[in-house]
Amino acid sequence: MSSNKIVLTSSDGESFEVEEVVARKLQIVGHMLEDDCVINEIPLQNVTGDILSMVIEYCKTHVDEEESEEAQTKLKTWDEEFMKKFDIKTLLQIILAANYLNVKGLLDLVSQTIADTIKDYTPEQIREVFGVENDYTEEEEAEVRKENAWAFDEADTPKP
Amino acid sequence: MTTEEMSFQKSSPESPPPPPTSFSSLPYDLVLNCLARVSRTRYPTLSLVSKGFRSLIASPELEATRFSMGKTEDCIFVCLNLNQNNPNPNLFTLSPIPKQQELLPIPWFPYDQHPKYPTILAIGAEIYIIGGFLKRTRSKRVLILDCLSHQWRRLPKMRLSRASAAADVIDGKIYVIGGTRSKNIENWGEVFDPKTQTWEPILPTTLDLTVQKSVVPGRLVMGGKVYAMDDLFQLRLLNDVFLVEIENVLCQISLAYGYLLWRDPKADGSEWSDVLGLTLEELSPYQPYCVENSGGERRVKVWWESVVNRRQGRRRRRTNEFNTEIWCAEVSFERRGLGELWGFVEWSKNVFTCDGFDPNPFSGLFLQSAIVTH
Repeated sequence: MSSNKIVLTSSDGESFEVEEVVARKLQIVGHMLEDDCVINEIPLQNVTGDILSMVIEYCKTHVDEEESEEAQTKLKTWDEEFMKKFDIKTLLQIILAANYLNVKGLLDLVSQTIADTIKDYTPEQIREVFGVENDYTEEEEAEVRKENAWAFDEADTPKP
Repeated sequence: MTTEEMSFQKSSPESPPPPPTSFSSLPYDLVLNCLARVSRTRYPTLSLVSKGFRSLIASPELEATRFSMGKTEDCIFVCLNLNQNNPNPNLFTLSPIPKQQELLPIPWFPYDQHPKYPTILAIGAEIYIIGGFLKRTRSKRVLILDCLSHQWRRLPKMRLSRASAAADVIDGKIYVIGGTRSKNIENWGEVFDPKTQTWEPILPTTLDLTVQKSVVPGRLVMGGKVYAMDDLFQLRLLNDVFLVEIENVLCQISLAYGYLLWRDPKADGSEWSDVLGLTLEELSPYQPYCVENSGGERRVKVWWESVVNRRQGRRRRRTNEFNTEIWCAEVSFERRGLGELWGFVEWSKNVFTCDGFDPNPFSGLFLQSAIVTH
């Protein structure tokens, strides 16, 4: 593989020059390159510069995924540290970007991180994260609680 | 339809709306991808978020996503014998939340009576409740709880009424043996074939039970439990012995006055040896009660009862009343060196308390447990 450089441009006009092998980790870019191999500048409409830079950082680190156990452990540690940098709002933006740019490894990593984050959230906190309105009436909510009474922790049960 | 399908839809105010295609911050499939990675124990809480979330949690797509990720969890069902004080319910699940393990009654039991002394058997995500006593009479009834949809249904009735029978699944068929009053060999056991939806009699000589007879020489192993068989082929459950797979070797674990013992049933002339590393205080000062396989390899749950003085008031004074506590400990195992087996208590907790106690030492509260994987 040549060390051909490709320029990725975000929706807010920020440009990143990366090696082609890194850019190909974004499958959306990989497909464009297969269709027409003379492109060296690619506009990415659905992702902003700050998020794109995170995705590129991930792709650079994962550019040559070695099989060896040692390398895998090192990558895993890096992934964990990398994810610690972000709050839940940023994670949601990264998952959208990873989905749009089609970076499978990052998509899995962020999904797991979001799952681990929201698992201890209250329903109210989850509504906030996912932008969901509580559309239950009080009676309906009581009904859902009753159905699942055996599975609630004490922490989830409203105090009288 | 040959099965007596009885689906009891939980009484919700209205049927849930179809899952939304998107939440305001994320598309549906991305939310699905995240939720599939969250433990099922959190799903009830997630169902409270909104109607859309609730239908997402109940959707076949979520199950499919979990399946494709190979994400399964174990849920432990426990059958108690609460004859004296609490007639219903007898079925519980063990809440798996660390440090908060406790027995929670199964809600929405849609039939008029919980059976006493049934056999419970887990098959995939379903729990089978076979026979047992209803109003002091043995029953032919077989109930099934689907742990994914939380719906009950019934199998066709067994040929004979049975209680505390031995049961296992062999090649997709359900074998139920013993538990009748009949000494007639033709009533010894029966097998249910899901394809034909019928029960057929089986004899002790059937070849289908070859494996069950060979695991522990001279015994019959059904559903991981070990049964002794007398000359008339009558079964007797050995509830102080259990089989657990430890590093690819099936070991027998046994309880004797608070000690855990083990042996390799296949090794010729192998003697019972102490499980090392376990101190009595950790497990219980009382005689443990029952050992059950705990899902996954190398673990068992030890259940026991303890009768304590009830305490009252702010200063927790002892009264002359008694409570019976059910305790559960999860023990993991590790083989070290030649012929050594070490045990470690992962957790140990009082998971259930009921009023009073039964002076009869042979009528324990804890009957059996089964593990559903879903």
